Amino acid sequence: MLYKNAYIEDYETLFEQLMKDYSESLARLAYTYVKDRGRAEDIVQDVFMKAYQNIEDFRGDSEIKTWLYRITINRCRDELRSWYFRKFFVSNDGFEKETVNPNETPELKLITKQDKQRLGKAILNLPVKFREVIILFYYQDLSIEEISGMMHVGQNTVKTRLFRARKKLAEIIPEFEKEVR
Amino acid sequence: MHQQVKESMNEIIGSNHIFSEEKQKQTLLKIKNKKTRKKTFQWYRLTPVLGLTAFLLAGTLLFSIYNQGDNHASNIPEKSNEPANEEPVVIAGEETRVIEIVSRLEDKAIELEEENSELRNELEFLAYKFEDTLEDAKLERTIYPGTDNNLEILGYHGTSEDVITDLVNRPDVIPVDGILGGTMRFNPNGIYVLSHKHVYAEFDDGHTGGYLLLEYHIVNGEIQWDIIDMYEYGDESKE
Repeated sequence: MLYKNAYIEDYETLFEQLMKDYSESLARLAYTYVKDRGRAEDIVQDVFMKAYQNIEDFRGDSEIKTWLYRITINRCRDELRSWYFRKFFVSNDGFEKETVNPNETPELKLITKQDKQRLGKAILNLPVKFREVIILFYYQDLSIEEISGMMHVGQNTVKTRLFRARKKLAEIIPEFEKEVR
Repeated sequence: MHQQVKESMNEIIGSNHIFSEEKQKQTLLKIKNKKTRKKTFQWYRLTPVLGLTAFLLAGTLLFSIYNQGDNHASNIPEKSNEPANEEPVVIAGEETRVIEIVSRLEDKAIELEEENSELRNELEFLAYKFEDTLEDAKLERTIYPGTDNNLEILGYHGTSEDVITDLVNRPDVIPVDGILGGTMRFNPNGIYVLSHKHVYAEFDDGHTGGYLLLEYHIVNGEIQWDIIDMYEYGDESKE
């Protein structure tokens, strides 16, 4: 298989490389759906296993990166729809363990952290269909064309969702208003 | 904005890797242990059929050989003048035919398996497309595309979705009373913003209901509703 202009015959080597290149960005994408690091990690493992099982069916119509993103999005949507997730899963609401910086007073640290997290929390609270386009476009730096390809929707739909998502963000964060226009 | 989103998300998710090296190694190990391709449902279904077919063909072949052997033994005096190598040629031909049939069946099984896999991918793709189309249909509640922009120009700080919400909260606009103890309400899924001027809305009280064609105006950022026309279930003059 041709990957990054090099022909890789052995699938194991290919997957080792794919994992190095995309595992972290896929895990971060998965996190924005499930809001839990452990769950995101398991999802990415599943994604690579599924990709490996179906690599022979991959027709190369799109980039392998787009394909992996598509599998991740579908897997995350399934996870959100799953009975187990909806009934039993309790999110940690996006809080990670704090790292100690001795130069900051606890008050200043709290204010800075809250301020920085404000936009991210607003994004994570958006409905999934708006959240995913914002994450893919602004956080994962994917183009409208790529997002449209991996979500099986038209480019205009992606643009509409982005517009509406930004509007919703502006409702929560007024300073954000100028970004909408 | 890209930078703002990235910084904020990284602040929430943290700088440590989510997908650890240990997990990577574990995944690779799993991949290595799973070298053989997953056997599909089609494979499991066809294999016993093929096995049984091969078994029956082999049984028939052995039976025919056995019978021919018997016939040959009883006919030796009459057939003594026939060429000695005729019988093995016939058996070799049968064997070749059986092998050909089995091989053709195996090819067919592989072909069907591939077709099945393609169809399943196609089905998965269509299912997601259908889901997205439904989502889009829900999303695109405005028939005239410029409605949201026009609302903004008129001084309304909201979208067509907010127009729907406003109407849902105004059951007093409905000009008929409920019957049998029911209260007339708008059905949120039956409201369509046709433009920045017009709305079509369904209402009911659980027993009866109807449709309204409404005109709305933005006055000081608020919506004022006027009824253009109404249809009530059972209104024969409009049927």
